[in-house]
Amino acid sequence: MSIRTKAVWLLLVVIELFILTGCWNRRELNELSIASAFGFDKKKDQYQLTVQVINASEISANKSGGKRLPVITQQLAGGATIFESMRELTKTTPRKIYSSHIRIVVIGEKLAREGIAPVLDILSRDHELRTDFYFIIAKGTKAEDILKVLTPLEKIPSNKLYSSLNSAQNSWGVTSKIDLHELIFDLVSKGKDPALAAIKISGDPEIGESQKNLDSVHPPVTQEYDGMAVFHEDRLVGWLNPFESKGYNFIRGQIKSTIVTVGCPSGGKISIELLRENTKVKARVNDGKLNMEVKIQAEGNIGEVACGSEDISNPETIKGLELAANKEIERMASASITKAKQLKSDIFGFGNAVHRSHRQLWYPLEKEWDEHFVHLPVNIEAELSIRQTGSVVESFLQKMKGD
Amino acid sequence: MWIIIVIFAVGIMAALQLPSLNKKKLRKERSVYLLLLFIAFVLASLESLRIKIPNPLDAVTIAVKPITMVINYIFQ
Amino acid sequence: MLENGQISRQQLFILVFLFSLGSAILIVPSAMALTSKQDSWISALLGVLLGMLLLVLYHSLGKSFPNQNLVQYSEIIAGKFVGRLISFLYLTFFLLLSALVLRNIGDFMTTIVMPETPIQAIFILFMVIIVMGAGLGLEVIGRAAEIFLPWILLLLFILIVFIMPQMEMNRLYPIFEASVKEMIKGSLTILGIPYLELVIFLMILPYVRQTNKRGNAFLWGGFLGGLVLSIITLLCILVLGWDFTSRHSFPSYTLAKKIQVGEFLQRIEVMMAVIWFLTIFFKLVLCFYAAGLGLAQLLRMQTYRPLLPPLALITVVLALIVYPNNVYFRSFASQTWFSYALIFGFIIPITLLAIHKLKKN
Repeated sequence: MSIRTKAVWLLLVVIELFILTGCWNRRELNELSIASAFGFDKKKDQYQLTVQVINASEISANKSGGKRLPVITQQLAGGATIFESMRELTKTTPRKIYSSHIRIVVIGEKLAREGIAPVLDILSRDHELRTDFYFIIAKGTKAEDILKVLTPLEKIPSNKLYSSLNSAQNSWGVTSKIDLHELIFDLVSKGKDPALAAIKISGDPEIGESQKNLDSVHPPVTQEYDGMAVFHEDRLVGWLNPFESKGYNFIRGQIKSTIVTVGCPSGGKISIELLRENTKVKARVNDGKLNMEVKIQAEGNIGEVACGSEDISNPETIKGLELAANKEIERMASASITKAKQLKSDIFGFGNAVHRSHRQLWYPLEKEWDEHFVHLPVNIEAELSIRQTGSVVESFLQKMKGD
Repeated sequence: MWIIIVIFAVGIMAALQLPSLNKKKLRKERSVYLLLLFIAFVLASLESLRIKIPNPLDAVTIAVKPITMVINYIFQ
Repeated sequence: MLENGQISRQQLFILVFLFSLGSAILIVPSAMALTSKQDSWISALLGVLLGMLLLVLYHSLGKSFPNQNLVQYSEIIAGKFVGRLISFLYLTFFLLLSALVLRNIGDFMTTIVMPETPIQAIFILFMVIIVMGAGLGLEVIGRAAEIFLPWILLLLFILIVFIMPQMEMNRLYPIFEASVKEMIKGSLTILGIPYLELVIFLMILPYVRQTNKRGNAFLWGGFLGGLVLSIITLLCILVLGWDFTSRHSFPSYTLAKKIQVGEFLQRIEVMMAVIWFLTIFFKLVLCFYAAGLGLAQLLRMQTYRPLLPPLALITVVLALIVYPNNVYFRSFASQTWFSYALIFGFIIPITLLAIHKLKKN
């Protein structure tokens, strides 16, 4: 290499040093406002956005007795579009909102009744957002109010919403967690309407947003999951109560674990804890008529015996209990179907089941599926098997009364 | 700013490569090289000065239109 | 000889495999799902079968001139003037393809990973490596491919295994809803990207060491590449559903985003992006190499290396102007690209082969 070539190479290396030192648009942690939840409401023609921002310095564990609140909830009415409102937030927040760590999106009832689709487009378009956050509907209130309630057991309220949604679905089965991706999937497909978890506030929201809510052993204000919100296309049309929601989850096969309570013939109640559940939904054609067949299979243990004279150790009794539990499950499932038919909303995805197995039949029905859904006969069959009776077999209650 | 980078880049390329081309007496290579470098320089300068360069894909689209139409006709 | 290096059959196999994955893995699932919906994986397999016929065509053309490449034998077959014209057109095709592939990786980076970084910065950094790679010659590219292949396979394996829990078989049904016509239409996508582009290997085949058995390596590489593409398409449908797949710009990346095993193994999509970087690197370096080498051969030059930097600058400018926005890109990729690639990947090669066979008899 000549000296000149060497000199040019050296120059290149020096220039490279300048380019390679750092990231172009890095953002350090102290320059970010991390959002943990979004709330959407509609006020007249404008979208109102509520953001819960984590106050990072108050979260750290070794700082005891911090007087400031762990989260700040900012809101701003303003933009004609949601994107505009999001950016308008910078007027009030010290830093740009970083939204990759969103866990929950709350949608106010009013906006939900008018249609949630416009909200979803921005959420799916923004590259910063992931799709793993869940949607909940604020029942009878605004999303803003839900996000303002402070929670004593979790420093970050949206984490409370997230984890109690998880546990309510996993061990009780009355809510349903739906992420952005599933929701859009439901909206696009003609044979399934969405159903989202509903949440309400019990107590006075004014108190809920102050430190007072954290200082009491029995917090005066809590957010509480309450059944599910039923949509037709993207509009909220009605609610399922917890009983119907459980039925809905049975039909969708989304029950992880729940309690089924049956009465004993001699009075009193027995609770059965379901551990596994599996549902098969099939469309069948009999004599040219379409009907749905829902088969629910479950396994469970006896969790609580609160009745007098039943002899649990008798296999016949177990069989009787299984039958009673089957009836109970079928009752829940048909209650939810009846409600859905009233609301003309196929939240179970029966239409999709028809499409999957009988597509020739589906095409003519597709356009007016709501009407066909209302008259669709559904045959529900539950089959529960009891495996264990807990750590004891016979209840001591029987001994007490028996002698 | 980009125009400075372009001039800089073209300058570096010439400074690095011309001497060796000259030394090896590769006449034809040198003229092709200079021609290409000139084209690249013009294109890059136009682009960095935000002067619109016609999109070659538009030309391609028009050129293959008959085939595209036949395919669309078959698979419509 | 302009290129003295030689690659082994195994290296040819790896290069064909990586070439068929590069950029196609980002574009194909979405374009397929648009036409044949939940049946696009069947379309993809159909496309792979049709694509194999193309590879047989390339192989038999290459076999007729075992020691010469496309630019060299087009003159022998079609005469000096027409042959050179054909070569020149091929060079523009290779250069344009380089620009499109470069644009793919730039678009990917700027929409997903670094949205505020100017796309030029990514182009320039990527092209510097490409110029180095192409300048070092085929032998080095081949060896680099051997080194990187295990990593790509490992990442693909991780992607496929860890996405399995998210699959929902229901999304595949009803199977065969698309008509045969729609299926074939869907398969054109995978024929256009990558199979018709594999015509570039006509520039590389003569540099494979064992000329006699190179056909097998060539065909297997293309077949396995297509198979991986079909599997990725199938996974996209199973995990995302066809509708989501068709609406997303880069569904295979969204697929990687969905990986979530427990609470600990998630958000590893940027690691998966390494697959796209490496495969696109090999596709781009081969396209660019073919363009540079071909130009030097066409002009009877003694070396192609000095031409690479100016060509790279031209490629960067081309990459900047080819797509005004990604809507234009989607319509170009689905409408025009196939016809354009059909001319270079099918019509010209089969004509050349036919003329050659006629002349011989």
